[in-house]
Amino acid sequence: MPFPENCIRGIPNKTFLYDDETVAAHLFDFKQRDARDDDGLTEQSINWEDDTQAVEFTLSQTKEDGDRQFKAGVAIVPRSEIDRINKLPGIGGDLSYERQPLAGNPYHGNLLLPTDTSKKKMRMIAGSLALAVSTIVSQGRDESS
Amino acid sequence: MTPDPKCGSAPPYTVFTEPIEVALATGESTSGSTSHFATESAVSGLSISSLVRSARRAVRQTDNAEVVERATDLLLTIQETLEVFQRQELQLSHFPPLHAVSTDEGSILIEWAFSDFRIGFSVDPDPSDSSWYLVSTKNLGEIAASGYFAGVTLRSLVLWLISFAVVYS
Repeated sequence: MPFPENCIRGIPNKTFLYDDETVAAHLFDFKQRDARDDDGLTEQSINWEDDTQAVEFTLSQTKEDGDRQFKAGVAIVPRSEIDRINKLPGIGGDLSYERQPLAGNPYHGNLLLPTDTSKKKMRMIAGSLALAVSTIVSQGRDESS
Repeated sequence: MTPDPKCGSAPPYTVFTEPIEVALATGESTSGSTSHFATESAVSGLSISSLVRSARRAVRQTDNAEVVERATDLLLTIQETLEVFQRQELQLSHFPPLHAVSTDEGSILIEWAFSDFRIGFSVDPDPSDSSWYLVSTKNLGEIAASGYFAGVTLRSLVLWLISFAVVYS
């Protein structure tokens, strides 16, 4: 299945937001605990905006305790921006992405980065992704409003 | 320190560090050097401390005292450098405030988010991991530059990054 125009990164709470239009870079941190054993990659969960329901689906996601998973909304990142960032000499093609549908979440996927990427480079990539966010959709409001 | 931005394409800019260094050394503006920068005079009444206040508050809430101390030193260096720029009557009124957050890996991220670029500093529990970055949109040459704090004079690094922000914001 081809990749859509945008991916969606959930915003867990307001500490990841500077204002209504700006996310903090650590929203896109790749964490050591998300390192995979089998392929040397660290994953960062996203949903793919495959259809007009994907944003609302993501906003509605809940944790095991029933609380909203993304209390501060979602950030939309154009895939073209991820591809552009990935071509920069300082990044060198290390950033990739995949689909990984889950039970109950057909939109799920991951941004991927080699686990041995230096923290310095990871932070630069996180900063680039944060800068590339095209839209923030907060809870209680969808993109059409 | 020689800045080494790695750009996806030829940058449409030049960063002038020498004129500012001369101004800092003499404590007065040098004509012909400050003319490289915005000629509007600074809007009076801008409180530089207001640009760093929120970040300083956030830093103080972090648990690791050593990280707090290093992050506070960094913010002080940023504030002092901004004050020098303000005394040179450079336009700073449009600067957004600095932000600081504690990450769940124990570091403090200090970020400056402009519309076409971001400057970030990560102050880590292990000082050798502490790093900085400057990234920009395509409009501003697709910059993706980064470095470690180790081996760099913090004041020079901050000076270079703020010079960039003054010229390109």
